[in-house]
Amino acid sequence: MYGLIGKILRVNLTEGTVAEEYLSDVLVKKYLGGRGLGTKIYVDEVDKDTDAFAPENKLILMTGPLTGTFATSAGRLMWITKAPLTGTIGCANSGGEFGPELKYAGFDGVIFEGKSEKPVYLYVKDGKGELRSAEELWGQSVFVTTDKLIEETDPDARVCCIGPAGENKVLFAGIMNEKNRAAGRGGLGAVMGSKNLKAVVARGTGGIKVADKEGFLAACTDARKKLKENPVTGAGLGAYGTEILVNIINASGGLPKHNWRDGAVDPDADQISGETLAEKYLVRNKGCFGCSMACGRVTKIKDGPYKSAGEGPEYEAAWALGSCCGIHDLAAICRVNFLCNEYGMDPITLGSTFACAMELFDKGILTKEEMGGNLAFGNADAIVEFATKTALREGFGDKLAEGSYRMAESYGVPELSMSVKKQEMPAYDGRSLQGMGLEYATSNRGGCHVRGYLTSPEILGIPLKLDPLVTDGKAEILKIFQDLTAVVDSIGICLFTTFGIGLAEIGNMLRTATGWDMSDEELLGAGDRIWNIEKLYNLSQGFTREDDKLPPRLLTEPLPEGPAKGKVCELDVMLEEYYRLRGWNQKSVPTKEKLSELGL
Amino acid sequence: MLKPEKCISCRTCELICSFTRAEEFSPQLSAVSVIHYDKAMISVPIMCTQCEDAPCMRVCPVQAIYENEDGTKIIDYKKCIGCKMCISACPLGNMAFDGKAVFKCDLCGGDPQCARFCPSGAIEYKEANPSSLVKRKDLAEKFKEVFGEEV
Amino acid sequence: MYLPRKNYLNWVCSMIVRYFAYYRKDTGLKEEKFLLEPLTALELLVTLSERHGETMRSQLLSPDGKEIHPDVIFLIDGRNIDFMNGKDSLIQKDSVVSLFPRIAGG
Repeated sequence: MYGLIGKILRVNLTEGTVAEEYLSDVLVKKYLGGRGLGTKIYVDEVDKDTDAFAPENKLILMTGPLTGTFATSAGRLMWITKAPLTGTIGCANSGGEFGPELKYAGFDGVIFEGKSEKPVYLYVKDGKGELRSAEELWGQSVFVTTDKLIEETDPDARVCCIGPAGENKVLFAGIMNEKNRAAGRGGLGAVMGSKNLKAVVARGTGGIKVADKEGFLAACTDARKKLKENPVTGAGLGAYGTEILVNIINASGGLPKHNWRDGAVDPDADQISGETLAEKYLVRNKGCFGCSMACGRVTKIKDGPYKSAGEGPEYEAAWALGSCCGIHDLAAICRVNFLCNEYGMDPITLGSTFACAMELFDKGILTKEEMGGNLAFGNADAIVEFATKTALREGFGDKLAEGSYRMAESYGVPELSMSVKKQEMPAYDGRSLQGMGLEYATSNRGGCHVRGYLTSPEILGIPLKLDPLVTDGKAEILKIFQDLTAVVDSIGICLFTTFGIGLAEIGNMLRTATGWDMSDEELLGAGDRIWNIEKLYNLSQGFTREDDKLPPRLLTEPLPEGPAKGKVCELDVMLEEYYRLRGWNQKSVPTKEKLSELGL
Repeated sequence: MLKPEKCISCRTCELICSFTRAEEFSPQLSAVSVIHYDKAMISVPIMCTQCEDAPCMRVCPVQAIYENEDGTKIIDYKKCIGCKMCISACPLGNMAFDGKAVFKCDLCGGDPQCARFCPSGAIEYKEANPSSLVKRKDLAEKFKEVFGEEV
Repeated sequence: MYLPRKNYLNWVCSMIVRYFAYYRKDTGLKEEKFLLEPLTALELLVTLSERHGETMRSQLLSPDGKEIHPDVIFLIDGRNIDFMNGKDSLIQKDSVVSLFPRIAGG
């Protein structure tokens, strides 16, 4: 095999065994790798009635055929399992350097089964995997764990691990690598915690070969040149990071305030923008493996009550802890973001859950006594205090650790959780960006922005210009974006490359690396196939068309101001068209014709 | 020419070096390495500095390392016996062994690929001599902006 | 500041122009206020180019000055001119114009 190594490890944590397995060519061509291959293995091997925290559940780590090569931004890996937060299929993507290191160590991925009696970690070095005790590390933060494991194994090793949030089964705990890169959403870190698996360490001195050396070099050189020349990928992302979106989303009337209660225009948005971050706290930008865009933020708050240093925040995190909570102290937001990295927790769900609690407090449903603190809109100190309480499930933090839906439901007001399928929607108001409303409702892992990022055409005009206020044509473009994203997530490159290159360039890099004879259409078709196996899994979990909906606030409370004043999200008309274009019936079930078209 | 303050830690240089040299992607086979410092928040790419008085050249028992017309120190593999004395001799760690032979940066025959593909300009290939004048000019520019007449 | 112009409708608008990303560096401003007679998007950018110099001009306009540079995102009260009348979109009341270079992603 070229591109992919062709081998994975199967680790049985109950028995304490580690075994090698080979990947089949047929399977890999149909599902590509990463998200596609990992999901296919998952849905085939795990019984549908398995609970996320049961030992019978499996946790899969999978890289793609391009991971670790010279392809554009080719450092990505995917974690796949049933998401504890939503109960849907969960997959979380991460950058950094771990993915390539695992491949240099001789493996494309790892399947974790069972549950270890005592805390352990997996050490993969140059063709061999072994389980080692992690008892001394249990309870330690992501930062301490990473440093200690590097000391214990190899100075050039790379580490994936959970922090206290995952150990405490916070429903939105993530899996971190290189300390600050996150497979954040859905609570996959909690599954890892439930298995007593603390970390995976990789050290590889091997390499990756490609099928057509000259062709691959030419394809990559061409793609890299295009990324360099494009203003987003060549300059913008590196200079300002993802937080550059704050001001433009706000100006477009799409930055939800106060748990989406008070419209989506924030007069103080600039205080938490990418421009302000660059001006006040940015040390430098940083890139993941092989990436020329380098949108990572290395950030330092030099003094004041929130003095700290670390990486981030990204746009959705800054919004969730910022405008959504009525907070504009960027230093406090950075501090909480660093805490999320340290504890291994998703700041998007955290911020949205805080905001939900803040609204409940405003309404008198929650009291200061019950919360053990003053979690009110605008209280920057409170988000710092409660971040730790949530990660450690202390006091009211125990309720917050369940996410906004379960928390709001326990008080009889689930409609105040701004979530879809129990996962909180990030940072783009579906009433001003109609296409994003459709994405939230239909995304296979719940309220997710990134798997069908219509913000790009609706606000940035990339790769085509769509009017954010209309519903026409959104379903068609969303399907293409969702399918293409599935491809990108499966082959191991960063989604942000698609701001500057398209299916053609991606297809060229993939074909020359792997030697596969696959047209661009067939490649996009693989994306469609991957989307459908995720959907079939969700159907098996009892998710129906009724779950492809938005919170009542987005459907019935018109925006009070801004360019989208008076608008709600007109979901139903888009949804109907979406199901039709997907080849599903109006109950959102794939038809027999569609399934046979996809070879399922 | 290295400007570590521009390094974004992406390791593209390692990837293209190993591929150019050995036709596979493996940082272990790269003549350049990026050293990352977490707390100091900086990364530094390191490769052979083409010493004027190169210890590797001096120590080689069979004179397999020579200097070409650009001043680059090159290994003549017809002469090299793989004794690895040069690895011990290099004080900077820039001579390595790939399992079959010793290797070091040879500037890709005059068109160094790391410099070509470095996305941030942390690695650049330039004439060594006028560099101090370039840096002096950068400083002078600042004085001109503040004190000079409006252009 | 008041800039007398062709008379569209005989009244002036109080206009705020907001700059973002590297437009802030190149103008030295986050925002500025104008009193102007109604004008098109293109005309406003020509005016701003005259005010702020060559760097901004080359970023706001095409080389021949007849088109808006493709890397400009131009919002009038939050609406993108692409969904109004493009470069001929008229700014004819008290408005907030937001100018972004096309460089974002998240």
